[in-house]
Amino acid sequence: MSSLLLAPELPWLFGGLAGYCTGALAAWHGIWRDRPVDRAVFAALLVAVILLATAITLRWMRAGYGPFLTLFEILLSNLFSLGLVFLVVFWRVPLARPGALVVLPVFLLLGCWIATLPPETSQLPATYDSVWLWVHVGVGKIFLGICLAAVGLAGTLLLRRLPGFGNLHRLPDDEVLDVLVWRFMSIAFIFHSLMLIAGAVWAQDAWGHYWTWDPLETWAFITWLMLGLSLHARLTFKVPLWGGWLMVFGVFILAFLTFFGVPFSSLGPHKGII
Amino acid sequence: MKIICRLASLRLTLPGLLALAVGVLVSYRDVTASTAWMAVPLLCLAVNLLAALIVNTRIRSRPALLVFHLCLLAVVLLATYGHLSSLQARVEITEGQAFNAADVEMVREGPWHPRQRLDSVVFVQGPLRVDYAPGLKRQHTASQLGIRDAVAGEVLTTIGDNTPHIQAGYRFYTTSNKGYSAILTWLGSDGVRQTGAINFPSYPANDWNQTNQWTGPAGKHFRLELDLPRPQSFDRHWAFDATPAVAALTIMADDQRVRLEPGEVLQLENGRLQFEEVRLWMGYRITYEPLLPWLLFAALVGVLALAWHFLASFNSLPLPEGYGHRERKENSDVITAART
Ligand code: HEM
Repeated sequence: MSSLLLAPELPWLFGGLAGYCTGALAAWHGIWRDRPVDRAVFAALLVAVILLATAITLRWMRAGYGPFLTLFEILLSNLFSLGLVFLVVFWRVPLARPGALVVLPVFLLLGCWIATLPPETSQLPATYDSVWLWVHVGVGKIFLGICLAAVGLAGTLLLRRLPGFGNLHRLPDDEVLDVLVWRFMSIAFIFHSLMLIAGAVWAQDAWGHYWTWDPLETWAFITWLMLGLSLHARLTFKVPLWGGWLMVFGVFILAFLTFFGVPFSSLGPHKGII
Repeated sequence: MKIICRLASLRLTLPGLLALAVGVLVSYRDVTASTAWMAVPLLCLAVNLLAALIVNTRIRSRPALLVFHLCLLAVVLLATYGHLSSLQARVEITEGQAFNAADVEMVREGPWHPRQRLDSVVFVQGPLRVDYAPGLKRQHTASQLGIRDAVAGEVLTTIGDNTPHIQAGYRFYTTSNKGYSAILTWLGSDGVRQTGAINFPSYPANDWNQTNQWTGPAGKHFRLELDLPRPQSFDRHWAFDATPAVAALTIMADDQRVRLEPGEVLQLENGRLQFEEVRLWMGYRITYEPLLPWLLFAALVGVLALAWHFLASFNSLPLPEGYGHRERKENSDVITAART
């Protein structure tokens, strides 16, 4: 156990979490005190992402394989990838910056979760030795990151409807940010579709069939359907803005459970059972 | 026309999608559930979509969106055809043995699968190797197959867990199922000579139970047990790649129990049974899914078309330049640098 506590990636991981914490405090401070904080939030995000990348590299060198297997590894790699995607969004789409008020606290929740997990290493199954693993995981991470950017904005918009969050009214109008929320959801739909396709190609070669309705495939498909449904619902019915934002939350929760719950509560082949 | 307009209503799409989600969950929770749970919502969605493609000007006037939905339809049709004509099966082949369609054990065969096609598959099992990491964690598998090539003659190809052997549309994948076989030759007193392999249970999963039954040509039942050297410690790197240096076969029938070394012969009533040697066998998973490349093509074209549609609609509806603020304050940037 003591050797695990000395796992070289841990200081960098906690450094990264401290970065996210600083970013979250800065963002809320900015909105509460009406201070310009974009640069501070950006810097905190950047530092956090670099520290987490270092943590992943050190762990990779220690374990001899990428962060694909244990819940600790998956959370670590997502803390990095979600942070990186949000960093790019924050940098390139200024209108999406208010999402930081929700996204950074979500990172901290993930941080609390990872802090409870042992950093043990495992053994990469032979089926994971495929370029499709990289494509599948890569586009999946982009999907979740962009979906989280939508959740950030939708969450901020929902928050400002609650009493006590009057300061949030200084942000751009609902209608403007709502357009952005659904643009992110549309892009997320593209990446989710690519994730399903890449996963199917990988499954064909790794397990002999492109689709077997294993738990992960089933829940990923349901997430995809619900994402398609939410895009349709907005076009078909007069869904109130807040109703749309709740749908965004629903899709993200499904995706979150699919990414972090299903693989660890089932014995599907994706877990690498041999 | 009126009926088509009704069938094309986007209001039907939402319950259709929800019903499909429910159907997927029911089939997932209970694998014995009827395929109707998924087939009916899919059919309804297909009718809804077909009708929309005919009458809905919002979809018809946007080529990229149209292509996306056509691709969705194509994926459903191709996957359904694939399901009906597909095959999933298993086979065990011993080193030196040729693939024999008669040995194939069906797992699932679609009603449209052209069974006689399997007879055209020809290859011979060559040497194989499965690497294990400490703690019996299976790593890479390398299985060599001798394949008759019209131009190059007999060629050796190596396949593994992620690289199937593809012949006549069938894909052969190695599996964790593999083990030892005893090669036996029956020399009947009537002059008949027959050689065959008896496969023992998967190794090392069943290293404690290397036994099998065999009914000889004269109808006599035998129990066979393979005596391998004591199992080694599996806490280190190890490879399943060669027969053990010492291996013996115990043959039991009635109250008789005889232990044979490789090459030794057992005299029986109407013939002699010779234990030739021990070899390895590999268990393969066979799949046949004829339209797989087209399925991938339709899915990729669909995603590209939708990306195109989104790009075009983002461009035609840019975010407002001087978007409104409920309240303007000078030095906030939230964060504010958003304000241009
Ligand atoms: C699994 C099934 C389906 C999925 C995943 C899906 C997905 C989508 C997506 C992503 C869009 C673009 C939304 C946007 O521009 O924001 C869309 C639009 C549309 N879909 Fe579907 N769709 C499906 C089935 C159907 C069906 C069955 C119909 C038949 C009525 C249909 C009719 C339409 C129409 C008319 C539009 C354009 C709406 C507009 O821009 O006003 N879709 N669909």
